Amino acid sequence: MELGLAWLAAGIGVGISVLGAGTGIGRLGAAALEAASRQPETAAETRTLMLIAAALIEGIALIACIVCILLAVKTA
Amino acid sequence: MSAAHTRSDGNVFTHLLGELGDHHGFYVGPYKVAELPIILWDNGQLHIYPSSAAMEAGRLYRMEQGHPVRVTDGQKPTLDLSITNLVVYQWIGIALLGLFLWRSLRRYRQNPLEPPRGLQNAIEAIVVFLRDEVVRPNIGSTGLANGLLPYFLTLFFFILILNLLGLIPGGHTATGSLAVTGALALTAFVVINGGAIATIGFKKWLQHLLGGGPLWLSPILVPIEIIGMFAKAFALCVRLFANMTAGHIALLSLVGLIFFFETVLIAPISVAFSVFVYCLETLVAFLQAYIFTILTAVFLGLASEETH
Amino acid sequence: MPNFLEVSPGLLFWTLVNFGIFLILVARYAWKPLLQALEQREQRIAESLNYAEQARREAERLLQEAQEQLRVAQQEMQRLVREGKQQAEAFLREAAEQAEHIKRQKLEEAEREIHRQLERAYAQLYADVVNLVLEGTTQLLQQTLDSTAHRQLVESFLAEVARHN
Repeated sequence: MELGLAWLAAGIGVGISVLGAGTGIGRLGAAALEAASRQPETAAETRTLMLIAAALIEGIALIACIVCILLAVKTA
Repeated sequence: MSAAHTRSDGNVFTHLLGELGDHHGFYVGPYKVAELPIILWDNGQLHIYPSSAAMEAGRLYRMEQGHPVRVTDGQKPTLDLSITNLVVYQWIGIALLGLFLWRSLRRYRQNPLEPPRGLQNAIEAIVVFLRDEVVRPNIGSTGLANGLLPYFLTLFFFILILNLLGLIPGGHTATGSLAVTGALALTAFVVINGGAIATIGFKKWLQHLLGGGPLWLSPILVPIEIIGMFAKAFALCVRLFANMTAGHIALLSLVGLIFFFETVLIAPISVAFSVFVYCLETLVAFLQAYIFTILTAVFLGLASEETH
Repeated sequence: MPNFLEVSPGLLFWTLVNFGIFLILVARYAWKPLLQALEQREQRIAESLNYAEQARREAERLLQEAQEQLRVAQQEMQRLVREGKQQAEAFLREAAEQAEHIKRQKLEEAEREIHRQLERAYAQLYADVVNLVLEGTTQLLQQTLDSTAHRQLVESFLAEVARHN
């Protein structure tokens, strides 16, 4: 029973964290694209900044995922 | 399967996860190729065994769930400094990198002004990119940037080669271990704060901890800044580890589907998605090496700014 | 705790050692010569570009100079041609004048010579005529007249003739 709850929590947790990360990266990508198309001459700089921001968002999402994995592989 | 010790509950996924991480002995894929020395520091004494069998024969320690434990009380020794699988993979990566660099450097010694060719060209392109796009723009101080350029170059190539080694079939990903990424993040932490102190001085570095807010806010800001300082390094560590492991877990999950459904019909889907994930992992291998390097440079640039 | 989430201090230690040694070796034996070579090449390229720019400027300057020289030379040439023409004309005119002058001189000389010859001829003729007449008359009049009286007569006659002439 408790194991089932842990797996349930892992599934829900991963879903929510992916939702958050997806929203964040989506907004980031949209903004970066807009910036790049408005000012194509600074596209390279925008790309770098986008990657950094994406990495920061991703880092948070991955930490959430690790928590979920810890729940999923809970054996006792 | 190598990680037979994790086969406790018949969960294929859990079993496959045991393949990840570190092992005693040198593995290619799931096969143990060679025994590696086991070095234990316990109760002020150093125990060195050429292999786990020799350790078992010594009757002081025995293997339990892939880790050496004391025979007497079943506890782990104080410090397990064994040469493990991932240490060997680091050596392989270093040897490969050394070989590449040596081969490409020969041409520089012969004639430094000749245009680069082949492997030399690839390495030079990455070096120039890191120098002109990553290190110099993000680190304000030119002297600091030039001084730490070798560190960033080494960091990038070290992470890259370890990532790529994990993608070779049979290879193990050294960067898919929290200890390895933790060590790299530790060097980044030292570089970020050491570089900042060396550039702007200890006093200004301490002022950075105030977060630029008024003095009465310092009880809130100082802990946040201190936590942020460690969180940056921690995030670096976890990001690299999680990115490298996540791809592997995705691959294992896709392959695990075949066993989970116990039918071969799912195999084409698994294989198709695995190929996709594999391509993605190749991209991620380069991207994460780049991200780790550029984030370290950005954090160093932020920490060594004159004004906050 | 699954195997891959464990943080083994041994692995951390060895990673630090590996990375540290690798960093020192590679910084000393790989990055230093590589970066130096890069710098050298970049410097070389910058120098070459500089040099090319200088050469281009120099060539431009030379071209301008050459064009200027050409222009000056053309002007000089035109001037020379004009002067030559003028000189030739002047020379021609002078030559013509001189020729005219010489011609006139020669004419004058010839005229004078003719006059002189004529005069001499006249004088000769006069003398001859006088002698002839004298001789004839002498022979004719030898018997009738003494020579002196006749001579006076003839001379007076001849003077008459000369006056009439």
